[in-house]
Amino acid sequence: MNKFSIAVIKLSGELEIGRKDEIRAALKMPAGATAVLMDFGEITYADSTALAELLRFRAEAESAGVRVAIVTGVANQQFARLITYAGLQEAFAVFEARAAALNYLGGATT
Amino acid sequence: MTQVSKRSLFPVLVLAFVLLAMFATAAVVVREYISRAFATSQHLAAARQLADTALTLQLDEETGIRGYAATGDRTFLEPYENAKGKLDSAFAQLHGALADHATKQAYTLADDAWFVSGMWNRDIALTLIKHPRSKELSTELRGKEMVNKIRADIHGVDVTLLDLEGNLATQVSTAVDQLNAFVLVASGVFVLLVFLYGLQLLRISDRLASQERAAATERRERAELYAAFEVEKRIADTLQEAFTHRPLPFLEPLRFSASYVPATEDTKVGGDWYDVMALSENRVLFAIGDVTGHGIDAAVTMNVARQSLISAALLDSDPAAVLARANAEIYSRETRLVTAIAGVADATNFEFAYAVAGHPPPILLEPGRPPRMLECGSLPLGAVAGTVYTVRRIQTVPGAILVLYTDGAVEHSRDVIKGEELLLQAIGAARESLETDIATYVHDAIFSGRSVGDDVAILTVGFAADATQGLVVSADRAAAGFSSRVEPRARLEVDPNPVSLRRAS
Repeated sequence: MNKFSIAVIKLSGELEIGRKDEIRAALKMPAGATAVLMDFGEITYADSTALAELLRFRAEAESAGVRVAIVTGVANQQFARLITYAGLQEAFAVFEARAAALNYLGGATT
Repeated sequence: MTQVSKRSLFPVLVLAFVLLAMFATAAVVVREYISRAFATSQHLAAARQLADTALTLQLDEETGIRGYAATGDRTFLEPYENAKGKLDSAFAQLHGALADHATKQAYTLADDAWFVSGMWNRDIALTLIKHPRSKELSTELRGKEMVNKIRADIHGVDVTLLDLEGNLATQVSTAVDQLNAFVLVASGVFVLLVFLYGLQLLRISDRLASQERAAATERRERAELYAAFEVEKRIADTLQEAFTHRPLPFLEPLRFSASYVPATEDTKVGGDWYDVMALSENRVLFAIGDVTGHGIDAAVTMNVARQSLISAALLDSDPAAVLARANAEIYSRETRLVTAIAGVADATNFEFAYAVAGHPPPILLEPGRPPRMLECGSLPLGAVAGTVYTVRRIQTVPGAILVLYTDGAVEHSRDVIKGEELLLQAIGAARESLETDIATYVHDAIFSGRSVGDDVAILTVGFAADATQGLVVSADRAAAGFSSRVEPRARLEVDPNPVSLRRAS
């Protein structure tokens, strides 16, 4: 029997320094999750604050043994740019669509 | 504050006013009541006098008639006649006096006395005058009865009027007592109100004073905070300027230009920097970077990043190694994220070698080709321990220019994609203009007088178009001469490496 649970964190709108506390509150390790899917498909803007919070979350997930996948959304050029420039592929599993990300997370825990 | 005191004062004043009005009204009413009672009392006394007069006259009549009946002497008729002439008018006056002010009882009694007096006069007096010697016992007895009746009636009137007077006196004294009590209570209430009002005033002034103290404290704290902020800003500015003002080296085969414009908003002065360091006459190490956030913290982190890049380059000028060392240094300090590009421009083979740490991509401008963005993408410095950076090598031609910039140059609006297009256009236009200070030209083209929300640093590193002439063929002085400044040759007319450092207006 598969014993895993994937938490989904979905952020939308503008992720900028003024919303740092909000972003930090949203990026909290969900209790009991064995994997986390972060859906950024509806992000319209993100600056380095969001980047720093993402990397902080990654460190937290790593020490908790939780796998993390990022969904960028198919047509979200702006966020895809941030992902590419910041080399987030090196730190996260990044997917354009949710299905692939779920497949990755689910497959990883079976 | 005035609002509060007005609100608390108002009911007190209204109450005091109402109380005073009631007090005055009561005084007037009681005064009127007493004066009326006094008038009534006088009237009652007059009525009693009239009743007394009427009885006296009746008795005079009777005495006269009895004397005459007993003696037959007509002189006895004189007092009778005298009294008879006045008696009727005396009864009429008494009647009138009682009609207005006395009780029905007194009125009825007086009426009865008047009636009986008339009967006595007609039945007794006239009978005895006509028959003076008859001496009828029955007549005398009846006459006596009648007079007794009149006497009793008049006495009744008198007693009733006395009672009335007594009642009136009691009522007046009660009214006066009540007025006194009212005055006493009202005065008490008034004094209490004044007392409460005074207390209220004290409380309000206390509160005002404490508020004033609190406001003063807040003002002082704010002033201190502002002063502290000013100090921090000045320090950050000074650090920033000290760091960015380092001059660009002069190397014959290479061309540089740089522009740094801090954010217009004071609070946004941040951690952008660039560096160019000569590795030999023909090679330079160049770097550009951006510390996330602003303030002293950012300036200090910038300094750490910068020093570690330079000291790493002294050991090994490989851009990936330089970034890896800087990453280790910044990661160990657990401060802020830093995005950066480190690279080497080599005029001997026209090669740019660079490594990127989370920084926007460099743009390459080659003669005869539109500007294009080069590859980029790797984690920022300080994000993940042991990040391995990749060196990317671009073989290019004389006259090629590499443009490096911080994200302020593309993120001036929310649409970064459009920001990048604008930057590429500005770089293309800079080449058309033949301007040597490309960095300033590009900055001005993008912002054209607009205010700058974030720091913007732009650095260009290029190979001279006639680089083969300027190439220094002596042995490389690698890693030795980053501070050495090669003196310009005679053909130098304009400084080929302008550095533009401006305060944003």
